[in-house]
Amino acid sequence: MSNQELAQVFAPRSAKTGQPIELAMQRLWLVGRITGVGARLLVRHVFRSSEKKPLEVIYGFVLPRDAALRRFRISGRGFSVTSDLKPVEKVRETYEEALAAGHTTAMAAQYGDGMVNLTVGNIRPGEEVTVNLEVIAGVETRDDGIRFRFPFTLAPGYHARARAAEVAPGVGEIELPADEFGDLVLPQFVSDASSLHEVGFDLSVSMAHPIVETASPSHAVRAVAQGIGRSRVSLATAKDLPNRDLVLDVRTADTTDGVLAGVGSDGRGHFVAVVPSAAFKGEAKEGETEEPRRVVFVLDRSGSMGGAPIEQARKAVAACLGALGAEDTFGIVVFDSVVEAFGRGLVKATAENREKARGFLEGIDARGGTELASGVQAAADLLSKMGSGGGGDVMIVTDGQVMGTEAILAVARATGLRLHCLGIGSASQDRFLTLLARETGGVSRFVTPRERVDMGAVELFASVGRPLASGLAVRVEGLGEARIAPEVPGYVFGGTPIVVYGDTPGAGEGRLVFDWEAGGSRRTLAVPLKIAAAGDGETLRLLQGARLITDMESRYPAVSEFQSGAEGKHEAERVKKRLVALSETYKLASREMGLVAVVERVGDQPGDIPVTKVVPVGLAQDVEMGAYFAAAVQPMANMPLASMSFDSGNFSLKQVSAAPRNGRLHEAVFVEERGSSGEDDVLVNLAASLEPDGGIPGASEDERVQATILVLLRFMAAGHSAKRGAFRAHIKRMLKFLERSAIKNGVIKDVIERAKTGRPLAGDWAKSKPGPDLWAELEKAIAD
Amino acid sequence: MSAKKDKELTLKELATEAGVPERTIRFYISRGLVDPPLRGGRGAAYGEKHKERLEHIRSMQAKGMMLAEISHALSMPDGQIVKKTVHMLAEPDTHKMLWFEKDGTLEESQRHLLSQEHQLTALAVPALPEPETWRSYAVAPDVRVMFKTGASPWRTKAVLAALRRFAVEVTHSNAKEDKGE
Repeated sequence: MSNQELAQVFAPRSAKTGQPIELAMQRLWLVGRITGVGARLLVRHVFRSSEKKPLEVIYGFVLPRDAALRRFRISGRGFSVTSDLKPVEKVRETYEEALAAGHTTAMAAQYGDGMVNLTVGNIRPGEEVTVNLEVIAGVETRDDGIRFRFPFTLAPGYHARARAAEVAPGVGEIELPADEFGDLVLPQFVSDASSLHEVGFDLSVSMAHPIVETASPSHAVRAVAQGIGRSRVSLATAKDLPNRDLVLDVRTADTTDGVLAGVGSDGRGHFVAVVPSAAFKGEAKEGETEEPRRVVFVLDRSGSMGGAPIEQARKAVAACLGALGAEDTFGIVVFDSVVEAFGRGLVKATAENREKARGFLEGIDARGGTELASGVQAAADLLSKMGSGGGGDVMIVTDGQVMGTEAILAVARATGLRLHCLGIGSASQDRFLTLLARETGGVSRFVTPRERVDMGAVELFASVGRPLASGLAVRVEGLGEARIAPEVPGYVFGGTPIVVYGDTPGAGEGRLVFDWEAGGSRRTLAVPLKIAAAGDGETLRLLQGARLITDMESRYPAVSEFQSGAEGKHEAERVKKRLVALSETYKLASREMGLVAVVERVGDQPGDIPVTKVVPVGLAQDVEMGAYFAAAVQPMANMPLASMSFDSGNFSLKQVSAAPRNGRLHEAVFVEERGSSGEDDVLVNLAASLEPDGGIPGASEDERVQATILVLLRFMAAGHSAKRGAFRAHIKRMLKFLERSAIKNGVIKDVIERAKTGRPLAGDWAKSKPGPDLWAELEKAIAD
Repeated sequence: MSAKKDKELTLKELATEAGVPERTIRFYISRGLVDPPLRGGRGAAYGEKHKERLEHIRSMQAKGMMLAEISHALSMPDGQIVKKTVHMLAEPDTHKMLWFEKDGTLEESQRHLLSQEHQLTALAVPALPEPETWRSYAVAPDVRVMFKTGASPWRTKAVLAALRRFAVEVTHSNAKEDKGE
């Protein structure tokens, strides 16, 4: 049997038809090293031609957060060539000339929103070509570890000027405006990814502190410890489908600061310091009162949020409202193609207003597009309507599946508000939402469809409630003319460490000095900084470069600004020049500098026009085809909402409505349970039921105090306390209620102490109810 | 597209003159939107017809048509009027039927026709009676709707959206009956 016949026998076959599938790209495999501050990755693309003519393949993907392409190596039988970094015009010219000359060639060109086209031209008939692409990427840092995310697929996104259609059953196409995205070719989005290329990963993890846990909410993984702070994580199955991001969580034992440093290839010292938020905490002075909170929730109700995400997001906002006191003010903005707001301005978080807000949220369903910029602007308008005082926080719950994000970033920056983002989805725009939060001084977090959106939102809300520190400044001492770039954020939020990138003239010893305000006074912290000639300086240099390039790329003016006048053009030129300089300094690609390689071989045939194929990707597994590729569904007043999946000519109703309750349409939702647990549901509902004074509702003061204690015990049994857990903000409010209550006794005192220190009271208190015997039962349990 | 004696262009020249990148032209050729070069192999050449076709595609794109729609329009026999739906994401008011000539133009006279359904019907070319396959949707236990397969994606999209609303309505009315409302 010839090699070609063998290849046919073992070629991938469609699960539905059993017919061989002719894939231009066979395999995408991710290898590399993840550290506590970023990752250095090698993405292996295996292309194979089954054409009779030369083949040109276009693979489109999106960069992870804070990522840049460094180089690639194209190899095949008898050749292996490394790419060159050149201005994008030159990259295209080199590629086209090589193609016309009959050479095999490849280029990687970057577009807006971090999208990349990797194009490989003139793959000979029957030939296999591998492109190993080196990617430098950031990670989501947390006080106790990291979350790493890598896109194995591309999420379809909303753009006001995009055109989308389901061009064949289960196959969608999106076309973006050329004036904004140039010649970017997007892949086809295929609802059944089982017939597409296979994906997988094999990664090493290296952390500054011992690793407690390595887990993935997206894939089945095999994690093997390889010493303190080191492990190897690979896909547990032989292969997987390109229909969701890879998400890896690495949790470490220690939350002390960690500094990585070394000398890079440029001879300069490079360092990245990670200082946990707890290091910036300052105790409030006696008698000092906290400023009332001003917060606007911005909820994405676009079609892609349909099903569990919108339902959980609704619950999440209701639960977050439970953490507000009567002195706090809030607003709610929901957006799709249009924007709706709860009220005309911010309202006090009274019981009445929260109940009205819950009613408003219950009427929210998923539909239409994702006009995120309009949602952000509406939030800014709400906050400005409060008159003097200004400021405030905006918390956005979205899947971020939008395109043309530079324009949204420009709107967000102009508002001057802190935006905190909770990203949802199996292929959400990690890169964009990270930028949106960071560029406005906020925090971003992500949850996958297998995690709970509501728990993620409550956790984020607790973190961003009030900054632990403000006016943060950092400097390097004792290492000559050192530089810190990019600038550190001015605020520190609980759970999110401060990450400092910098470089020094060379090796040596010095210290990083942090200066900030907390609890009404200025504080300082010195962290030793030792830069040795050995170490991982080159990786740190590349991570710093990728971060600076990503930040600069987000500064491109919106197309409308660019087209509207000289100022926009001038700004675009400034960004371009700066990007070219950054690319040349760090030897990393950007939107202005791309990668190209040419393979010259004997037998190259000039002039033959190759067949061009675009590699399709799987539709993100939690996204329904209809969310992007079908007509927008209009809301129908007093009508139930049905979510349908068209399959084999039939569909099923996933969501139905029940009878109106309290005069409002109440939706009973029957959807697939994704990572939910009954207890979490109960806790979210309990959190939402807190009165503005922090207590649980009841007929009398005694009943309210007892009910609040029982709820506290339930939260504590689930691992939450005033210091840790997603519901810490709610617990603090319950404690305040108990402390202010006229009822005083030993039980209350003990429970308060337990909630502060995280010591649950033994026993199952979930079934207990307020009543005359409860005090005695509690006393007995405490005594035992 | 018939080859005629005209100025011959290289791919690079064609790209420059038509304002369409070379890679995009190859992509169009592979999708069947543009004919292959006049000659293959060494010295591959393109003619004025290629340039005209590229300009034509761009003008249709400017009118909001996707490549799949353009491909469909271009594949129709000469002189036949093609019925299209232009779908702009999240702009429901644009979900209306427009009539395009084969070249993608939408004349004022046709706009006028838009509001007159019977005139549209009169203009439409009837399909030949060929074997047909239909999809069956059980929208409720007692209701089944048939929809012919092979419709264009935009037509399919509109019909499925209508079916969805219909399914909700009949399910809702059924639930009401069950409760004796």
